[in-house]
Amino acid sequence: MVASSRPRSIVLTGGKGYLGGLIAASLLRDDTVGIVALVRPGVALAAFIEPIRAELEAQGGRFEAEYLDRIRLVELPPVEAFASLDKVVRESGADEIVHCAGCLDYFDRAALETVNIALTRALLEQSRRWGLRRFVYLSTAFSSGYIDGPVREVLHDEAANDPTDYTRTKRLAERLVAASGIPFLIIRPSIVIGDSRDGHYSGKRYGLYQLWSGIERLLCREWHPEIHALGARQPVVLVHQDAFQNAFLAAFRLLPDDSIFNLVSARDSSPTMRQLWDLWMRDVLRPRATYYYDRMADIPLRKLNSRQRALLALASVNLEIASHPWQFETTTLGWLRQRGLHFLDATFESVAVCQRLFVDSSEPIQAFFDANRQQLADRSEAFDVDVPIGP
Amino acid sequence: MQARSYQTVLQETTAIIARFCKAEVTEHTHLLRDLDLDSLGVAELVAEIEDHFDVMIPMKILPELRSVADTARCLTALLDAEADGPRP
Repeated sequence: MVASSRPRSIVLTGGKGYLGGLIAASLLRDDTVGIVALVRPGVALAAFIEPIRAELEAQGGRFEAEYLDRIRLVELPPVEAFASLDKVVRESGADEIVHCAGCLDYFDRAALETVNIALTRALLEQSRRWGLRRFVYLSTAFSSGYIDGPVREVLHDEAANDPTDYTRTKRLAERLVAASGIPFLIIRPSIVIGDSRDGHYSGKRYGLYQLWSGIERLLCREWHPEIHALGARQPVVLVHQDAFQNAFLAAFRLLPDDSIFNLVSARDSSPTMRQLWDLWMRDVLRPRATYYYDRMADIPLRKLNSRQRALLALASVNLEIASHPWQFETTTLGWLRQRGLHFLDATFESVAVCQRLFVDSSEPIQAFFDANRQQLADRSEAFDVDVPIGP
Repeated sequence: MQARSYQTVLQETTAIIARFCKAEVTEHTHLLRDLDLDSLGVAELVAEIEDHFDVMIPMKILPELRSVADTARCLTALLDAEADGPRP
């Protein structure tokens, strides 16, 4: 892939987080830009580079000494003192910003407003003052809210219903970015999971990993002869973290200004939530019977064991998101593929690689196998529970 | 099921949370901020509490349980409602 007029340096927010860290690793390894990383007060350089080093090593590479010369850590001041960043940004020659910092706490509306909206607004104002030539914003594939029909690669209208305030605030931030007058690139990844090659995952346990951790800690304390699950047969559109890195770099280098990019795997080859549950039932939980429901409201919560109920409560938002028939426009991904992007779609088989690594490295799950060997069912029956819709 | 006073529920809830988190806990302890519980930790704790009181905390209420006091208040109301039995 040939780069065109790449910047000497970029400003990066959220580099200490999962996706920001993956982006930093890609830029250090596969590009030559310098990175001015804006971090929370108290983040030391060693703590910043450690996850990047670990990720590069997990991918078979190493953290080269010269990378240190390309990273400059700068404490993110309060919004009202952003002007104090002028000198360091000017000296670095940064001419783009990659804004990955975001709040993911679905239920903390104040933090979502402060981080996802107010911080983005302040960075846009500052970027204009710094004369940056592009604002790259990391959003989410679900910023449309629940809509019928395809999720286009355009700014979204207000949604009648949002999965969470997170998706709503990301949609509002996208609009701020697009209205700022600064050329922009909005990247919308769906749920990011482990590496497609070996399943390693370097993020916090969000998304699918939150569900898996919940299964590990709530359902693997004892064997459950019956399990009730929300297992819609809708494809769950995931992205492997290595595919995310490749796609980010390609978009960063090749997409024209004012692009919006749905970074998602192909729907047709994506696993369904039902298939992912089946894999857990077959390989780990091995109940005698599994009851599958299409909607959370159909599950007889009062009849469930408290651990199963707690798991459903924990994962309810993500399970409901996974139950929606998302159809993402992938025109931009196709365009990038035509120009050399290597992007492996997440499939049932590739997600199974990630799950296998998770299971094999989990002490609670291995202890569950040891303690329940006699009870694990050889054959598990699955039932679709059709709940009639009332009058 | 018998209704219980807020103070009794608070005492039992505090003991469960202190045991679960291996921490000193008061009525005003904030579950996420003070006990460093993540959402999964909260889910596990809720299961412990539900088992102890033999009640079901409705999902929609869970995000409102920010402190020990919130949790005890919610449990007191649920136990009250269960003691009253189903309403006509």
